[in-house]
This record gives sequence, C-alpha cells and structure tokens, in this order.
Amino acid sequence: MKKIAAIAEYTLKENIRHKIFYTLLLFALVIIGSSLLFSMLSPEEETRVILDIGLGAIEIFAFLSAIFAAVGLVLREMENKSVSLILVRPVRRFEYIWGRYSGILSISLFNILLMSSGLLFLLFIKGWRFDFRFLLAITFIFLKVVIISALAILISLISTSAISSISATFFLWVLGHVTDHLKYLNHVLLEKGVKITIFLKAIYYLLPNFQYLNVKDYIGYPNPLAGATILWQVAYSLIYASIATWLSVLVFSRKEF
Amino acid sequence: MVAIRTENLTKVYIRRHLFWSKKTNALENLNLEIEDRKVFGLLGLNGSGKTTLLKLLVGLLFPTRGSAYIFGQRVPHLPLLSRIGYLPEFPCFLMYLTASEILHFYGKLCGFSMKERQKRVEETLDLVDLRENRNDRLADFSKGMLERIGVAQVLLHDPDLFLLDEPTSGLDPLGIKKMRQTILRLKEEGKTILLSSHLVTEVEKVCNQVGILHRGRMKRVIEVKGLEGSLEDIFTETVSE
Repeated sequence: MKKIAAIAEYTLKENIRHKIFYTLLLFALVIIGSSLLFSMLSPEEETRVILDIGLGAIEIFAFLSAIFAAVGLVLREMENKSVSLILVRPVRRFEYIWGRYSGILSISLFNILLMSSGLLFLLFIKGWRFDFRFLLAITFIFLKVVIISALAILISLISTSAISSISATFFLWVLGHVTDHLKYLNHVLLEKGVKITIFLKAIYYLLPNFQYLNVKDYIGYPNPLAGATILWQVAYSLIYASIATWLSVLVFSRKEF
Repeated sequence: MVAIRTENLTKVYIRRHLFWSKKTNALENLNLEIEDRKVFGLLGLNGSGKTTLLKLLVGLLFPTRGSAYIFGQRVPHLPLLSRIGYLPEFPCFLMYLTASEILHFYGKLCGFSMKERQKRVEETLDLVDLRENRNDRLADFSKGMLERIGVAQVLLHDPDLFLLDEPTSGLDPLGIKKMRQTILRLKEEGKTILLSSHLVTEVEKVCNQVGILHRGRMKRVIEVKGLEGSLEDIFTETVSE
C-alpha cells in the first residue's frame, strides 16, 4: 500500500508540474466564467444556463486532463523506459498500475473540486439556491473520470502511440454516451430482417454506459433519482473501473522493457 | 559462494508483423557462474546479448527458456531486487522531479523510513557531487549529470550486487575516470559487480573475470589476473572466429 501511495504521490507531483495541466484548468475556468455572458441571453433562466455550461465544462475538462495524464504519463514512461528504474525495485507490477491510477484520480478530483468551487461561486453571486443534486452531479462526473481513466491506462498499455491512445479513449468516451442508441439500432435492424442482436448486446455491455451516469441532466427538474439507483450507479462505475484496471495489470505484467 | 548462475538461459525476441513474425536469438543456452565479491566484465559487440542478460536478471525481460539464479534464488524474485542495483545504458527518469525528489521516490519504493531516506539521499548526492543541484529539476540536467543521478540511484540502497550496463557510455574522460573509481571502491567494499561494456581497456582495468559474449553465446570466460597477451587481441580474435 505504501508503494502505491508513493507512486500516486509522484504521479500527482509530475502532473501538477506539467504545463498542460494549467492550460486546461485555466481554459476550463475561463469557460465557466464566460457562462455569465451566455446567461444574459436568457435572463429568466440565468442560473440554469450557468449550471448547464459550467457542469458541461467541468466534465469535458476533467475528461481531458484525465486522458492527458493517463496517456501522457503511462505511455511516455513506457516509451522512454523510465518505468524500468521503478520496476527494478521491489515493486509489484500491480502496485505500479494502481499507483499511477490513484495518482491520476487524485489530480482529477483536485481539478473537479477547483472547477466546481469556481462554478458555485458564480451561482451564489447570481442568487442560486443550493441544490444537493449539484454535489451528486459532481460526484458522477468524477465517477465518469474514474471509468475513463482506467480505460485510458488500459488503452495506453495496448497502443503504441499517444495519438492512437487519445483517439481511442476519446472514441470510447463518445460511444459511452450513446450506448442506449444501440438498443434502438437493434430494433431498426430487426425490422429490416438483420439479426445481429448478440453482437450489439455484447457491445452494449462491454462499452461504458456514461449516459447511465449523467446525473447533471436532472438538476433543476423534479428529482427522478432514487437512492437505490444511485447506489447501483456507484457500484457500476467502481466495478467497471476495477475490471479495466485489473485488465491493465494483466497486460502490464506481461510487458517487457 | 556463487552470486549469479544461469542455466541454459535463452531469450528469443519475436517481432510480430501483420502476416509474419521475425525471431531473433538474443541469448542462446547461456550457462554462467559468477562468484560473490568479484567484478565480472561482459565483453561483446553491439547486439551480442549483454543488455538482454542484465535485463533478464532484474526481471525486465522474461526468459524464453532456461533460468537464472541470484544468491541462490530463482529470478524474478521480488525481495531480491532490494539487494540489486541496476544501471541501464541510458537511464531515463521522471524529468519533472528534482534530483532529491527522484532519490526520495526510489527510497520510498525500497521501503526506507523518512529518516533513513533523508540520510541516504544526502550521502548519495554527496558521493556523486550533486549536493548543490539537489533542488534542480532533472529536465535541466546535462547528460553527465543525469549519468551521475543514474549512479546515485544504484548506490542509494547499498545493494550487494551491481548490474551496470555500459556504465561509461557517453561519459567524458573525467566522467569515465570517476566511474572507474566508483567501481574500484565498490570492489574494495566486497560488492559483486557484473558490468557490460565493449570498451576492452576499461573492463581490463577493473574486472577479475571477463566473459566474451558473441551473437548470444558465451564464447570464452577469462581470468584477468595473469592473462597472457592483451585482452583486446583475445577479444578481437574470439569475435572474429
């Protein structure tokens, strides 16, 4: 556990010193701030516009910083072989992967909390009444990052270049938001006599279902979320991310440097 | 006592392409014994299998066949790694960290307490003359300074066995001399050293025994003391056979 914590701590340190971290964070805060301008377009729903733009920006930038951290650190470390000076010490390969993963999640959590504070500040200025679902929305944005970071590490271990890793992770992120459409596609194909239900079902269950975690869409509307559903969503995210991370461990254990 | 023993150690690299794969025998049925407290030099041309052997010993590569033992334990063996210091030919680090931070990081991975780590990091930085640069980022270091950090990370945990891959590669004459002094000091302390090189004269100056590796096969093992003729001639003759 101490070694996982040590690797996580240094992942955090390395990430904080990376210019791209500040660029992304600054860009996110500018977009959150600019939501004030957009809110002027519909004065009667000012806070709604700020919330929508703000939460959207937090999600996108949390996602971007997570994939840059996952791909940038893990893939670069394998390409330049600096990983070998870690593995020649009494460190198990799973400790390395979980350490890197924990470090990436820590930096993402820090990012999300900082951006959320900025958004909350704007909302309170505009007289918004606190809705506890805001915290849920932020938690679920983090859970999406928990899943996509695990997948980004797995892809970085399989892929050979940063561009292909980032593209594949981005592709999974987009697909993960439209998995529900696979059911509709299956329905349409069946009507036309094309039977690929098993194939589509397999893709549906393999891909991460980010739509299932889109709690931010419910803020400002009557609460359709039950406690049990939230627990299922949390369990789904943690189980999915754990499986992806253990797959990374499996791939990494077979890697030679 | 035997420090390193290999039994039919074989490594075949397989490069997979879309429709075919290419096999390269990097090491073939290597049987080698290196005694404890001795300096063993691995001589060989580029691509002779020197780096492969060192990487197999620290578990960075997996053998295709055969096995290797260090201090009687079959490798890879995790606790054994705290007794081994490995210096790659081109050491790469986490460049955003400072000299002190990277050594603290490696110290943590070796399981040292904060107090012990602080003591060892300071001592090691002194040994490699980098105390003044302790808070500088590695990204700002020159090649020679990075080499010294490479040496520092090897010395940090005071291992019993040193695996040095081309330790003088890329060093200036002063750097080569300092590296030679470090190796000789470790030799006096009774450490076991396996160093790979293609610089015959350097190997001759520090080693007790020399093994000539050619195309993945151990061609000859020679005692340096009482050697008749020059090692360079023996080496060229062996690799030309």
